Amino acid sequence: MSKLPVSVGMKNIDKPGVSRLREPAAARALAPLANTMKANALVQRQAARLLHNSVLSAGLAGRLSDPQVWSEWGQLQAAVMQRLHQQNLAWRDGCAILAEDFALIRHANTISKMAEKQGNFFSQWTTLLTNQATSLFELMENIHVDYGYWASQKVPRDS
Amino acid sequence: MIASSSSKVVQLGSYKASRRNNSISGLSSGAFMTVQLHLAHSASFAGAGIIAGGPFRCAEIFQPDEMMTAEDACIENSLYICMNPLIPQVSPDAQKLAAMAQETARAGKIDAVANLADDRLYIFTGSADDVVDSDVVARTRKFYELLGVKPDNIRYVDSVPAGHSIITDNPEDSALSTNQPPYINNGGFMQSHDILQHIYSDLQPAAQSLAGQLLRFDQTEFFADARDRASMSQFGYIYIPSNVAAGRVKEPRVHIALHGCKQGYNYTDYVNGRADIANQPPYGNRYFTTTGYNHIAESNDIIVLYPQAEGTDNDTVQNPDGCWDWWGYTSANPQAPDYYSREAVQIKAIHAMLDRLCA
Repeated sequence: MSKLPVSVGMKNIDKPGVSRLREPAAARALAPLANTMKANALVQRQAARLLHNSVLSAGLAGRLSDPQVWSEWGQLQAAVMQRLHQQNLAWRDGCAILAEDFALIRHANTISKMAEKQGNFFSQWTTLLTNQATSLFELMENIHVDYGYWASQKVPRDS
Repeated sequence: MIASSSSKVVQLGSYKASRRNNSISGLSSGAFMTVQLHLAHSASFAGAGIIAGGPFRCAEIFQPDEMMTAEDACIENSLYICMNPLIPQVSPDAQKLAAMAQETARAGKIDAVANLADDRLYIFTGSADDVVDSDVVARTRKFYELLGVKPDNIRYVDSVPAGHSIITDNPEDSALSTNQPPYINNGGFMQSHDILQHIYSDLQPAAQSLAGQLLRFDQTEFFADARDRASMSQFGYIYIPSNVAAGRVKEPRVHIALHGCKQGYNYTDYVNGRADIANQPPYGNRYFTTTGYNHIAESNDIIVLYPQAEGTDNDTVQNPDGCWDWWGYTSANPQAPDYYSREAVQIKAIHAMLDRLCA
């Protein structure tokens, strides 16, 4: 069965008086602008993180001869590669499942079932792509935060 | 939903419970909240059970620069340092957090840290947990040791190949290594019994059947002044053992059991960003009926309190998974988050419930 929209309602657990549907019309009209501004703010925040991490990296130059720093740097690299490997496995598993689903569409024996199966296939395909993109962004944020935290502990306090 | 044989909603009653010999446990966000509540009101508790939880205020461990707001830093730290650090070295710094806890106590926002010294702790991390990393939970143990808890009083378990879950011996629960809702996995033993056995070392074996009352109470009276940001459900649950209900127990002990994310009675899954109201999960009442707490409580005259958090996702509160607050979403001022002190909305509400039971 399709998950949209019959079985999916509006946010019934939202608190009364604050749900998006009850927002003033003016606020709804400004939503596209607000969303764009928020996206810009988030990108700027990541840019600021990168800048901050670059400064920390420069501060690490004083510890280039410290084998512990190199060891932990290597562990960070390996952890990122491991996460990418897991994501690749999830992508391949997802594609394999979708290929099976696609092959089963031909068993539909009415036009409505055919339409439903095709719709389900494209929904699942979109979900897989969304999950992959979300995971990549999560990993990017994870790297930025963890590297910054790690480097801030390694950089000498007087630098 | 069947919470008990009665469909009544009662007012939480008074049972002249102990004011000092109580305990608390929780899974995941419930475990983070367990640590917060334990620290905030350490005078009320004799011990705690922490399943996959991190140390006190770990969401505030890192503030990169002034451009990053405290609110944003807390969210990112909670996700990437307190749950999913890339390597052990970027797990939350227990020493720094222990110092923050001492400072918070000196500021009078939580009870004196010295109360923790003789408390008994059960700390668990599944070796297959991919939601809250085992390195984080190891820091929780270190954090408590730095605050003066005797190592002999800590039972630290990290050898069970469990996913992110509370473990039961129910045949219908998920496979042990599973990391998915309802986060209740079958490992062949009742983890709730291990927790209570460790905290109160003199317990009788769990009862085979329940003779007490599982009651549904209206918990909104405990956060009436902050309903818009509490992210707590209308109802909470409580198990009253038969001897306590009959008035045969002097100063019964209270155990507070906190569910994790997506485990509250009215949790609703979000599909593509919308509440899936036509397919509500069937496990909403399992945390307070099948995790084993009630059976061991029955044979040992322990009241079990089950406060409930609920999913909220709007302009005021972003908590769609119904987690307990350990990163500041309930804070009145997000730039000076207070989710950890005695005055924090959820902590204040839960402790007020305990106070009612003690009255």
